[in-house]
Amino acid sequence: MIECQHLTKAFGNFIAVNGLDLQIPDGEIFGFLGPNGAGKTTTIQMMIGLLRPTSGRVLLNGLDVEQHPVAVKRQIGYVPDEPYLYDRLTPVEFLELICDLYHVDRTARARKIEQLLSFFALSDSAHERIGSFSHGMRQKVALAAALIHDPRVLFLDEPTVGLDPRAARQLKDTLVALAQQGATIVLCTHILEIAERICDRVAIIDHGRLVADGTLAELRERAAGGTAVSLEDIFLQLTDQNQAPAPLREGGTNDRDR
Amino acid sequence: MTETASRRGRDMNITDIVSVRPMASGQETSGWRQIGRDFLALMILAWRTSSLRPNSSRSSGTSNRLAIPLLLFSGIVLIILGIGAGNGMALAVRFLGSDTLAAILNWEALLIFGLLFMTAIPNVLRTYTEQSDLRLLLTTPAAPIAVFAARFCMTLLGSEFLIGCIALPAVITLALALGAAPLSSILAIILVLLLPILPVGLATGTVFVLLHIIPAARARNLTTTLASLTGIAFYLVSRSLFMGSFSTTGPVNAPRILTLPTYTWLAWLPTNWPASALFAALQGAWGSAFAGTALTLALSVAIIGAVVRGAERLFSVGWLNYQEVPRRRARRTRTMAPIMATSLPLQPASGEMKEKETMAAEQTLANGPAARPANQQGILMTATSVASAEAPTAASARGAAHGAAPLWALVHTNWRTLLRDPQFIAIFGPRAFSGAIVTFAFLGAHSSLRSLGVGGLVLAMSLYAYFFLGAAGVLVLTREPGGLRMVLTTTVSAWTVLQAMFLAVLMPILLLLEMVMVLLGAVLHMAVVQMAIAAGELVPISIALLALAMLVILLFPGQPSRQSLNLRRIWPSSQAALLGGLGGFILMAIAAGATVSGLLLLTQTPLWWLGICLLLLPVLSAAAPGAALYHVGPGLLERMAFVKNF
Repeated sequence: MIECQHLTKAFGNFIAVNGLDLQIPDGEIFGFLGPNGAGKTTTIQMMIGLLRPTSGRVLLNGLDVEQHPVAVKRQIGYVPDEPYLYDRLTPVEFLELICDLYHVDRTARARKIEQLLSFFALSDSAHERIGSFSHGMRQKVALAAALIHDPRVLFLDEPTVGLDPRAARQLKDTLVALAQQGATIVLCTHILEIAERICDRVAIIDHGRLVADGTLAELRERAAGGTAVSLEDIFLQLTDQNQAPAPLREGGTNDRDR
Repeated sequence: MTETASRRGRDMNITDIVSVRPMASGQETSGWRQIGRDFLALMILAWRTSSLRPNSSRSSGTSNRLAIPLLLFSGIVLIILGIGAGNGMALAVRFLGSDTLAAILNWEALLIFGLLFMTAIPNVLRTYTEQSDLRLLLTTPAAPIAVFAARFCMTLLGSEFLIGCIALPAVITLALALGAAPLSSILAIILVLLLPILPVGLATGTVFVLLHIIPAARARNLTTTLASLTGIAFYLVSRSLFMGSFSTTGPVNAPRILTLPTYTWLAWLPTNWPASALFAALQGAWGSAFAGTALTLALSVAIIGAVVRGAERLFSVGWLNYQEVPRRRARRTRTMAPIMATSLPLQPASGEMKEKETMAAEQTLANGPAARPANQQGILMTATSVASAEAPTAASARGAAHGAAPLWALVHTNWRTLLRDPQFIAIFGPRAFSGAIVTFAFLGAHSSLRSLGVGGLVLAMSLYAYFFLGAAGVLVLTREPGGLRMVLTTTVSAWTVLQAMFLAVLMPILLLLEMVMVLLGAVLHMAVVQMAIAAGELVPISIALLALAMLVILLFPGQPSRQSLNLRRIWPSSQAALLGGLGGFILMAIAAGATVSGLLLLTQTPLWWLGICLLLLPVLSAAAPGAALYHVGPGLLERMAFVKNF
């Protein structure tokens, strides 16, 4: 369970995230959407303990991220939008490093590295330097690194970018399987089709404020009174660049529709 | 891993590999043992990702074979210099007494502090703001204290290498020559190894304070300027302290160092604690020696602690992460894309160009995002250039893109991006500072320089040119791999791109050098004809130096690396400086020789003929590297951008 309580992050006069309240239960795939610069990455960075909130707090399975950063980081896997990989290392060396840093049991790690590399079809390149890899292969190494320590919570920022259709499908199936096992998955994406297909719940953030939060059916219901609209329509309606975002929350209505 | 393993992996379900663990609360680590393990893992990582590591993987990536021999060569040269310095100090002490030893050690401690502080600032900036693996490491449960301690050690290692190779042999030689007890050598080793911690720690602290106040992008420019200013201030203060009046000193007065005055209060400065302890050890005053060593050690530990804590705080508040990345990207987008889009006419390409560009575009696509254009505009440009390549024209391949507009647009873009590149400022700040000092020293010794005439002036200016052009040539080629690939996929030919880089570097530096030369010539009261000859000679020498440096970097583009910007630049830069510099020095020797021999014949030879003779040899010397760059440069540039994927 992830809980954001009135989360705010300001950089000088600029408020990147403004009083965000969220609850993401275990076993849920949570889609986090928003236009560029809306505050998604800042929110995620606060959730994983990379940024310290200006006010408010994040609880991950009951632990305050700011108070217990190391214990929280053990529970999470993170794939950023531009994953950092060491070009001079091979995938095996990189995964060994991640195992060292996450203190993965030494007896199990070799088998696990082999299995994950096989799963992501990287076995043939296991001993080549990452510097020579394509974007898709790099993305797969980053995904393997995020999974190797059996995380309970996964944060993925645009994870399908650069993946071929087969690998993208495999990733979606993987996320669904992990969620069924009880993992919590927070997925930032601009590909609304993915959010529509696999997310249990979707939140839309704009200008640092949460403007929508609910299941797809709930959002449809609230946005257009139940008529069939796509997530794209809802997104565009709520994040109109020329207008201030109108909140669309559970139990509320869209101000603009009044 | 075999094909069977691969198939088995595909058949496997992720839940067979990853098991979602139940939450175990209160797993907060971090005993010192854990911190130590994390630190060790990170230091192993630093070794594995360094240029010095032998290529042990099956990858066909180019190994930087020259890195280790170069390091060994530099180490041996520095050790020989250190031993020489130690013997020199011992000789001075024998003749002038122990007061001189105290003065020399104090002066050297201050000199080392200033030098290391100045050079550490750009290193610290690179380590903390450009190596984005911090964003990866900080998301792991590795103890932040271990992450930042490892980072500080990495910053320190370069300085330790330098000091270890020069100062360590110097003080051990000194101790042996003075017949000091063996214990003093042991203390000397400890003190010398502790010596860089204070300057590097203070440089790190200075950078952190600035990064707290202003965004990292601006802090980079400010701190590099600050480093140069500190260096200048340090030089002026130490010179006035030890050498007395400026007007009476110059390089010819170097022996004055042997009669340096002793300032006892200097021993109380923290920068001079190691020197005081060393002096006491060499004199056999063990109480003072141990007290000084203990104080130095305590100060070093305190500094490391403060730096590690400061770094932890700086990154956890997120100011750096947030401010740096978007601004840097936005700036690149602003600087490259609009200029390219508006200034580069998409000219119709010839058949040869078409083939070349289509291949380049295909290669770009095949290489994946690593070879993708730097931004969206770049993608559009690539698409447009590929489309335009389908329209055949009769224009020649080289001529098609030979128009002045793309060339000058690229020169202009190179200037803009170079001036905004903190690495450029970091490299040129100290060089400009050194240049200013040398110029100042020349002016102080004008009578001796004047006697050398045109030859001396040309030699001095060639030295400046060597200092600036070699590094700038490397920088302009390796600075923006993404931008280079993007430009090479447009209709602009590789030769135009190379020419633009060449001119962007040559023109301002040559102009600057000519101005300095005129200034020097005026101060030295040289004849206008002599100055004109020197100015004329400087042009081909500069062309030759730059062409050689660029050829070397094109031939040895270095390790493929996207992250370690500093290493990517440093090692090829060393190779370029070594090989290009060697050729450059030969050219300079020829030019100076021609000048001097011409002057010897001055009485019998008409001046106009002499001028032609003096210019002819350097021009011919410059023609060879210039022609080589023209003929093989464009191909090498494309190979570097697409095939080598540097």
